[in-house]
Amino acid sequence: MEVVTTVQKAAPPATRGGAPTEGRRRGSASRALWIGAFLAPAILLVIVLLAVPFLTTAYRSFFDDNGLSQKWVGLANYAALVSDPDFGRSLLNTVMWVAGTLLLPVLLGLVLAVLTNSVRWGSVARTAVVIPYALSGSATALLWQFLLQSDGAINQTLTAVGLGSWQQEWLLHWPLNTIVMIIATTWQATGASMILFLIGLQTIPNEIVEAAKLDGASGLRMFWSVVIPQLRPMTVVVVGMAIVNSLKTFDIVWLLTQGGPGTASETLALTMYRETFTLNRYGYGAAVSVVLTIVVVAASWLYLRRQARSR
Amino acid sequence: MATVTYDAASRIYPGSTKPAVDALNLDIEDGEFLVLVGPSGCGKSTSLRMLAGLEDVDRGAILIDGKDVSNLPPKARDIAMVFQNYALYPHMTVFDNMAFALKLRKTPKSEIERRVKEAAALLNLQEYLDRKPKALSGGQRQRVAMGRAIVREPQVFLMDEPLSNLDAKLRVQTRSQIAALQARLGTTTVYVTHDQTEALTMGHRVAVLKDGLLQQVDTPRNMYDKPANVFVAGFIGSPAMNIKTVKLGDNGAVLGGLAVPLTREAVAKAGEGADGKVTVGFRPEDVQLVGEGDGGLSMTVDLVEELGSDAYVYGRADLDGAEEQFVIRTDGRHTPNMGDTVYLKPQSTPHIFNAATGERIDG
Repeated sequence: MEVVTTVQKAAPPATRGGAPTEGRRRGSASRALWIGAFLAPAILLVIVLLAVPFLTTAYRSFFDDNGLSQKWVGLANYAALVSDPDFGRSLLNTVMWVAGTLLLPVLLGLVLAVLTNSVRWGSVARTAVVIPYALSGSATALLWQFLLQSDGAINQTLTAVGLGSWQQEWLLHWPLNTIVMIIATTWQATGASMILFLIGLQTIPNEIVEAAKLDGASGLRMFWSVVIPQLRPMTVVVVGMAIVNSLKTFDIVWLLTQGGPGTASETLALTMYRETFTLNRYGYGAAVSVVLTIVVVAASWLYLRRQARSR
Repeated sequence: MATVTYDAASRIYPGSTKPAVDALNLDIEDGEFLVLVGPSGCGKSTSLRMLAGLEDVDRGAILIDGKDVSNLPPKARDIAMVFQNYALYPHMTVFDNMAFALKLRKTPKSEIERRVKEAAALLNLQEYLDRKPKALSGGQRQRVAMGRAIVREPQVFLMDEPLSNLDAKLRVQTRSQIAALQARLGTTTVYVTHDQTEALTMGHRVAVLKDGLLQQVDTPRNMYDKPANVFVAGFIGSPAMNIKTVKLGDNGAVLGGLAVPLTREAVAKAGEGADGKVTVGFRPEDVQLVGEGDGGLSMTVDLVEELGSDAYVYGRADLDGAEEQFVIRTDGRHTPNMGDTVYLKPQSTPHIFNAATGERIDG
C-alpha cells in the first residue's frame, strides 16, 4: 500500500520533467522495483528451465562421468568429439536434415501454396496436403516403416509391377536412409509451411498483383518480383522454424532406424541421447548437447539478425 | 495516344444473370479526358477494369485505336492505371516502382533513368526516389502512382478513384494538378469517380452510369443544363435539383399553387403513358423568392445553411395534399428565418421529364 502511494506521489515530477528531487529518486527506485516484480516470474522461468539446465549440462561436459563417478577432464570430451567419426557423421546428417528440410517442405509448401491459391480444386488439394500434418511424428514413422522396410509396401509394389530390380534396402544404407527419412518428414511437414505461405499470399493486396499485370509482369516474373518479396515476413517465420526443427530432428529417426545401422543415420539429437542414456557417458553426451545448443542458437541468431537487418 | 471505343460491351459476373455493365456504347476521342461517374455499384469501375483487361468482356467489344483488345491480356493493351489505394510495390523504392514496367520491357537503362527523372520532376518527387512507399505521405504515394503511369507513356491512362484516399484539401489541389497534367501530356484518359464535383471539374466529357446502363454522356455544361433523364438531373448538382412529380394540366404542370406553362408539344409528350402526371425539376439556384400574392409556391422554412456568400434554404411545401421537401439557394446576407413562410417562383423554364419514363422533354 505504501509503495503504491509513493508511486503516485512520484509520478508528477517525473512527467513535468522537473529538477531531480528526493521524491523523484525514490520514485524511480520503486518504479524499477515494480518493473522487476512484473518481470520476475518470466525471468524465474527462464532461469529455472533454460539457464540452469544449460549451465549444469555445460558444467557436466567437463567431466568424465559414468553416472557413478565423476572426474574433471577439462575439454577432453570436446577434443574427443572432434576426432570421433561417429560425431562427424552425426553432424553431417544434421546438416543434410537442415538442407533437406529447407529444400523440400519449405520450397514445396511455397510452390503448392502458390499453385492452389486461386484454382478451382485448390481447397481439395490443400486438404490432402495438410492432413498428414495432423498425424503425430510416431504415427508418421510407423506408416513409413510399413512402406520402407525391406519387405515393405514399396518393395512389394516394385516387384508386383515388374520393377523388382529397383528394390532397395531403404533404411539400411547411408545416405539413402537419411534421404528417405527426410522425404517422410516432407510428406508430413509440407502442409504446415503451405498453410503459412497461403496466409501470406492472401495478405498480398489484389490491386498490387493487378498493377503488376498492367506493368507487364506475369508467370515467373510476377512470382519473383512481386509475390516472393511480399511473402517475406512469412518466409522468415517458415524458414526460421524449419531450421530449428530440422536441427532438433529426433523422433522419426529414432523410430525408423534408431540412428542405425550402427550410428549411420544419427543426428546430433540422437547422438546426444545415445551417449547419455544408452552408453551412460554423461559428460560426453553433455558435450554433444552443448554443441547442438550452440549450433541451434547460432543458426537462429545469424538468420534472424540477417532478416532483421535487411528489412 | 489513341481513341477508345466501347462497342456494346457487357460484363456479367459469374453466378449473376444481370449484367454489371450492360451493352455500353461509348466513343472516347484521342486526347480526351472522359469521366465515368455514378453511384456505388453502377458499373463504372467494372467498365474501367474491362478496358484494362482485368475483367472479361462477355459480350460486345472494346477497341483501342480501332483495334479490338477484348481478348488481349492487360500487358498487351499499352495502358497504365492508377488505383484508388495506389497499389505501389511496397518492397521497391519510388524509383523502382516507376521503373518496373520499363525494366520488364527491357528499356535501356539510360532511357529508364531519363524517363523516371522526368516524371519525378513533373510530380515533385525527386527527393523521394530512394524511399519506399511506407515512408511517404498519402499525397506523395498518389503522385508516385501517377508517376508510374506517366513513365510508361501509354496510349491510355486509366484512373480508378485516385483521389478518394486523400483528405479534402489535398483532393481539391490534386484534382487540378491531374487535369493540368492530362492537358499537358494530351494522353487519352478514362477516369472513374463517384464524386460529381470531380466529374464536372475534370472531365472534357462526363458519362453517367446507373445499374450498368449508360444514362448520358456529354460535356459538364450540357450535363448540368440539359440532363437527359430524372436520374442524371438528380445525380448531377449539389444540392440536388428539386424534382417533383405533379399533375399535368392542359397548359402545363401544376406545382401546388404555381402554374408552369408548357408548349402544346411538351404537354403531348409529357402525357404519353404518364397517367396525367408530369415530372418537374428546378435547381436550387433557379428559384426566386417573391412576395405573398405574386403567384409563388408557399414553403415553410425548416433549415438555413449559411455558406458565406450563399445560403441554402431547406423547407417543405404542400403539393396536392402531400408535403414535399424543397431546397433553394439565396443570397447569404438576406436569408429567411426558420419557421418563416416564403414564396418560390422558378426564374426560368423548369426541366420537364415524362413521369413514366423519366426522359427529358424539351420545349
